[in-house]
Amino acid sequence: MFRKIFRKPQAVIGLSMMLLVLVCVIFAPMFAPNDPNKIDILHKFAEPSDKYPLGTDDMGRCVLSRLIFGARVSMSIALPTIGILAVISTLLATICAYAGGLVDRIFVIVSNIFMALPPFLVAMTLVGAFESKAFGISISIIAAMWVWNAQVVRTYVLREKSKPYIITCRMSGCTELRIVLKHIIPNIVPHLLVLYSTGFSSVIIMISSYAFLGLGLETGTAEWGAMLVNADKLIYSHPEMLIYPGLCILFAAAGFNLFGEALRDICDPREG
Amino acid sequence: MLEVNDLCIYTKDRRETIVESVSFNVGDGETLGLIGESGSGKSMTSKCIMRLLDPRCFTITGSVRWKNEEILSVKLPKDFRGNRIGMITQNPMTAFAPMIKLGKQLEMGFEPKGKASKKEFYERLNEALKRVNLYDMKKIINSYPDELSGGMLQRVMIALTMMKGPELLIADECTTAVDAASEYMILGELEKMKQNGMSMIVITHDFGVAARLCDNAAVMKSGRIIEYGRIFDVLRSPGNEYTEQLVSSSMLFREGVC
Amino acid sequence: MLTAKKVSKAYPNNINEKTEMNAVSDVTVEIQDNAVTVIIGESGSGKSTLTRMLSYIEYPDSGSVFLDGTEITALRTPELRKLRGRVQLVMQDAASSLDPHHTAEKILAEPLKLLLHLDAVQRKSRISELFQMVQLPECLLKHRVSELSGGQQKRLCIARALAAEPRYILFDESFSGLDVTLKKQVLTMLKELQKTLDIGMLIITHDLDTAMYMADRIYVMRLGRIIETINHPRSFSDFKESYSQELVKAALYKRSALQYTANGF
Repeated sequence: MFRKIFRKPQAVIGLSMMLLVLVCVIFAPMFAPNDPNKIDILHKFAEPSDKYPLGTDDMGRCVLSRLIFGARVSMSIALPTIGILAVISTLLATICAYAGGLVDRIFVIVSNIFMALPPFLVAMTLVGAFESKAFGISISIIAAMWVWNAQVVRTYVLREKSKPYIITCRMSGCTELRIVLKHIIPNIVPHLLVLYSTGFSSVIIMISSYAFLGLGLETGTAEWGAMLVNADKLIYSHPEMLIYPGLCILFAAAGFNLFGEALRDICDPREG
Repeated sequence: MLEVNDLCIYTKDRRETIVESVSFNVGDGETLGLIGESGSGKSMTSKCIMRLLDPRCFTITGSVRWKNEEILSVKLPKDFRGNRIGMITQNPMTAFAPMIKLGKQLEMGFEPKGKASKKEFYERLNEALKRVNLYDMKKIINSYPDELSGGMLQRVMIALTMMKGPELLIADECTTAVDAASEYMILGELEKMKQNGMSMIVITHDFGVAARLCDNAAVMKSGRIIEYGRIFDVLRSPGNEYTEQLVSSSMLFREGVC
Repeated sequence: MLTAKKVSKAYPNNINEKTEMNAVSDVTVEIQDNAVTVIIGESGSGKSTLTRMLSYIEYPDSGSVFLDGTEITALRTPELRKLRGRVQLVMQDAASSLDPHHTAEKILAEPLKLLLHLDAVQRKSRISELFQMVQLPECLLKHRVSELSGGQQKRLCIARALAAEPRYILFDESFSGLDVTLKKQVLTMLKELQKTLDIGMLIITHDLDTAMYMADRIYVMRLGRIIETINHPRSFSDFKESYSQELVKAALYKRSALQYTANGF
């Protein structure tokens, strides 16, 4: 399987992009040339130089360092969010779809109600309720998005459940639990991989958007979305302030997307 | 009518040989059987004759002459497929678009323009359908493909193919996917056409079908013709073991033998 | 003996029409252990539905199914589960009836582990035996189902059914679409196995040639009903009903040509 990954250019590119981001996250202090939060008004908007490879922003902070540390902030919210989202959606959807009957109907009704609420509305409503802004962002994203993911997973499970090989498994003596764990879930994993890797990029973008709505982390935090917000008044004088964090968001999202799709193609080349 | 000489089909990089040194003739009013199992290259050969193989994926050498004219490497006239050589394939379900009513699809094959020619088209269609024992044209043209059985769809295919009036018909495993009663009707149709002078290539793995319809037989295995001759000769004195196996597999039950 | 007594099942007809269609009406069949029973019927005759009821995948609307004396239609799911393994079904489409991501080895290991409770060592040797029985080469053990050819998948399905060591195996049109030489091999093998392993077999087919080759008893089914039963069929003239004779005519159409051409009579 790993050999297959390296043979596919799309996978390698996506993987490299992902790894680059993750490396920044883990080794931020090593890579960042300066303290991202160190303010130095005298040197604001400095030109790129040895000390400040990408120059400084309007408060004299090193742009590159802020970008690198920004990865950390974004990822540290995004990763647990998508993780919990994945677990909740998959569990809920699998149980409801497989059990069928009344349980499934209740699920459908509840999710229909939730789907009527626009994600951002839910997000905005919830985020203010929490002390820790980061936690609030995470919870609100989960609350807003779980229903969409769960619906998709439910469809996958229903589709697998109706395939003839499930009957064969029962005849071979499988209990229902075994069927779910050893047959249904492994067969939908490729689709889940794509779902959650593309979902991941949505989450990254959503987190960054929070800053735009004024719901983000404290002002001045080195976070891509916050940097974007900060730069919007500089669009004519210093457009690069806008471009750098924007590119980072794009890069991270694209990396995960590419890798996820390539992984899906590897696991299940027949479909798609 | 159709002369195939030393036809070879390879994958584009010549790594795999699909068909090698295939030669046969189909004379006027004659029926040739291409008999073999899956992987023998028989379908590929017929697709090649119909110029349905993408030259970007395959390397093709040899010659295919239709009425003494080489057709392998030239630009084909528009009505070549369908009007000169017609083809019926194995799976009638996939031959039709699933979301369009049959009447409309059949019309698309002929594009009758104007009320008068439409009326004429439907008259001809009615005749053609009657010939294949389908009498309820109204029901058929208003149905979707999945509402009809495989056997019925196959007969619609035959009717359609006949309306184009080809001079050579290629029947590619057209009874494999249908049940016994439909097979009987379809083979009956093909026999009728044969009696009316149609030249045919019948592709099958069942010697029973070949015995019924064919004058000549070419047994194919792994891309080569391993036996070629009159059907009588091939059946009575098979030249090799594989042919014998095929013949005996086509008739498992021996009456009186328990 | 595996018996269906007066079973009926209806399905709603079309999405457009609200009328129900009887897939199976008042059918009684007996599958004897130690013999091959064949049900001949066209598409739409209800034979697949009947098979599903006999293998207790579906319940009939009325009537009962008896397995070696036990009325399985009266049992609830937990008790039914205990009887899994006595009856195995081989479906028509081999590819979709196997988990595409499992290896051939895993597919066979499942019934051996869950129904026969064999340990790893026993499983390994039994899997080799099963592979030999269906003439599959050992190198395919670690291949995934999606990597196997159609014929190999079919044989794997049969091996899986045999692995469960059932009392009865039902084959639902499992041989149509197989290459003829492979079909002959598989059918001959099954004939052998049936005698040595003492299994009752039910073969559903529309092919009269196959039916006559294999059957100790033939049921002819049409539009959900059994219209004729023939015990120990010896020749085509054993078919007396007019519909059955239609089927015979169809079979003889090819057969006579073959016999005439091959033998000159």
